[in-house]
Amino acid sequence: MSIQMTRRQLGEAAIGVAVLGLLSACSSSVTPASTASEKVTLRFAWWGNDVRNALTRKLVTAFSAKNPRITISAEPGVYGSYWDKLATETAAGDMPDVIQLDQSYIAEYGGRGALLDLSGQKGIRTADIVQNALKAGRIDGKQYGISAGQTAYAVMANKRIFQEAGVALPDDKTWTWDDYISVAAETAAKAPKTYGAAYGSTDDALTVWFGQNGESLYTEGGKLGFTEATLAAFFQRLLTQRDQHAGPSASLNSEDGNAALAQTLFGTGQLAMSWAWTSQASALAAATGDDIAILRVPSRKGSAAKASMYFKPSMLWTVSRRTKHPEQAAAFVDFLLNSPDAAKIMLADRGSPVNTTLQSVVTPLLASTDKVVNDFLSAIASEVSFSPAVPPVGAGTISDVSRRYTDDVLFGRSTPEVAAAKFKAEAEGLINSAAG
Amino acid sequence: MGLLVITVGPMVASLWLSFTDYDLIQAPTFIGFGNFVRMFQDARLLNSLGVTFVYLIVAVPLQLAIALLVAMLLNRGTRALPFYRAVFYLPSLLGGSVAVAILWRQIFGTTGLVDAVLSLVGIRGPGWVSDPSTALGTIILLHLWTFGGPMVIFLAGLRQIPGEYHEAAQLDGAGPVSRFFRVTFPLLSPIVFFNVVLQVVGAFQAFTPAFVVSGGTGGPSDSTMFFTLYLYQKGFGQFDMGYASAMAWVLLVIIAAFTAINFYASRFWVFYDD
Repeated sequence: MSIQMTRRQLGEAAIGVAVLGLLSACSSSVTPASTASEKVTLRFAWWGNDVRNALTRKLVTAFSAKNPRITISAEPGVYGSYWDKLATETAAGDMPDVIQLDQSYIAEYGGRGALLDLSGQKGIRTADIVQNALKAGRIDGKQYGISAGQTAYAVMANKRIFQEAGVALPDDKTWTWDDYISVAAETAAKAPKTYGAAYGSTDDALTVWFGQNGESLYTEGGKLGFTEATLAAFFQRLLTQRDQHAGPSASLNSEDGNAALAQTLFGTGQLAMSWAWTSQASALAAATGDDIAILRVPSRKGSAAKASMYFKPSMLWTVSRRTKHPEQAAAFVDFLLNSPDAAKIMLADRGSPVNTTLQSVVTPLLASTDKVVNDFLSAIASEVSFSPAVPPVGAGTISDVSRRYTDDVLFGRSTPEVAAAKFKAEAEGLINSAAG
Repeated sequence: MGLLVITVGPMVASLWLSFTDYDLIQAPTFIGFGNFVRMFQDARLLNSLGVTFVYLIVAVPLQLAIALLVAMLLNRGTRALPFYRAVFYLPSLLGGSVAVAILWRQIFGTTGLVDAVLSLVGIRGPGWVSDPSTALGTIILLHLWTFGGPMVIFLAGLRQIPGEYHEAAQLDGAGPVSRFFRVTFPLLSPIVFFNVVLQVVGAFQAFTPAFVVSGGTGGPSDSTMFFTLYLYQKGFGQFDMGYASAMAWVLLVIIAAFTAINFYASRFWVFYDD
């Protein structure tokens, strides 16, 4: 029996086939392609300097060797331009899969729903990870990122300059802010072509200062936690330092803010002391070619326990919420956090490992400055008493705000009180308009 | 099709976005005139308008004056005219570029060429780009350095003025200054007008030098925060793209207003000899 189709039936059949084809195409792009046998490419973005970029590429190679089905496409960047680029990529729906993020931006992206909740990913084992590394990336109960390494904000001292000046390194367990200024002034006077110490006026320095005064930069509830009076006292300290010739001129300081690490005043051996993350110590040692000592921050009354030092994530590993391969991305993040191979490559470049079992793997392999850093972190562990609240949505650019008011104060365009009031108003404005 | 997709499409989108609260990540939410109202209370925005206006009022007339002066000097005729013309024109080709802006930042920095030369004479110069009172000046200077573009146009215009007019005026006893104001300038005025309109529009759009010289920050204490730079920071740095779009449209209105004023005023000083 022959089957004859009318033209209409043929047309309907054709439409049916086309619709089936469309549906299958649609569905394959909607469901995550997570079968283990599929070849997958992940985009991985980070910022760094030459040293870190080389290390990170080695990490990528090591991961790919163990996971031949996952190819990682590396996208290194530079800190200054990283954020504009990431914002644009996110707006275009083109975020990389695995992203290195700074803690000031974790709320900006996580709080706006751009990041994957990692607690739902079984591929990431968190059993051995220290609690505050997890807390650092947790917002409203969701794990938007996990700390890549522990670091602390501390004072770096150039031993060679101290020697040239004939000044002894200060006792960092008992020194006060006044000691900081007077030591800096002494080195500036006695060591040729040096300017003393950096002002230390970033938002991290503010976190320390507020902590020492019983306040905080942000509260757990996502609001500001400090008073204008305390902030004004902070700005006053900057003025005192400038007036006693214990720091660079306002204009040198302003330029310093834009310079790459190796080109900063400290990095080029023109400052006896500066403020930096312990994870930057070896880059600074390489840039200056000198021995760097790491000192606890000065305190108000000369007591290390009240110096309000804290551990901070150097950066966090996050995954885009729109990634097409969440399981593979999770596998890569797990590798970065928990794999001994990864730890042996990365060593202390991103801070001290957050996986407690890996710390003993890494420690014997550390050399020179990294070892000094590690010893320092262990030494202050008992004095660290708090972990600062995660910066709320809208606070991503707070470091620009603090830089601007520091310039205003140091150039004499604003008194400390006026600058403090404006700073607080502006920070509140940023947080309120983002929450709206 | 290209015009639609690349120009008109984004313009319409930006107009829509200016009435929304859009943070680049979540979908935009309509807020009516909220962004525009907020602009009037934004001290930093008003400051950026101020910075842009100072740049406009100082850099544009000065640059055109220098361009005209050099064009008149070259118009006297010299054998090496093509050489000079090329040499003066070259900076205007490179001037808006990132490379030159980086160079400029270095030259005027605390460790740069200018301060090094000054120190030879015993003067301790400030860091020109890192001092709020001089940072804008370096950017204005960069704009002045690119006088070659308008200069070449002026030169062409000057050459079109018939020599007989100058001779006639000289015979009548007019001195050089008088000749300039009564013969040269009126006959050149359409070209001057053209350059003024172009340079004013360009000045409002200035971005690259400010961005590079200040390292993207708007300079020490917002002293080089041009309107376009603040727009960029708001949109891409602070996740406030709705506000940035509103700023873009306000800028368009301002530029249109200035151009309209220019055209209206032109009837009083531009002389078309037909």
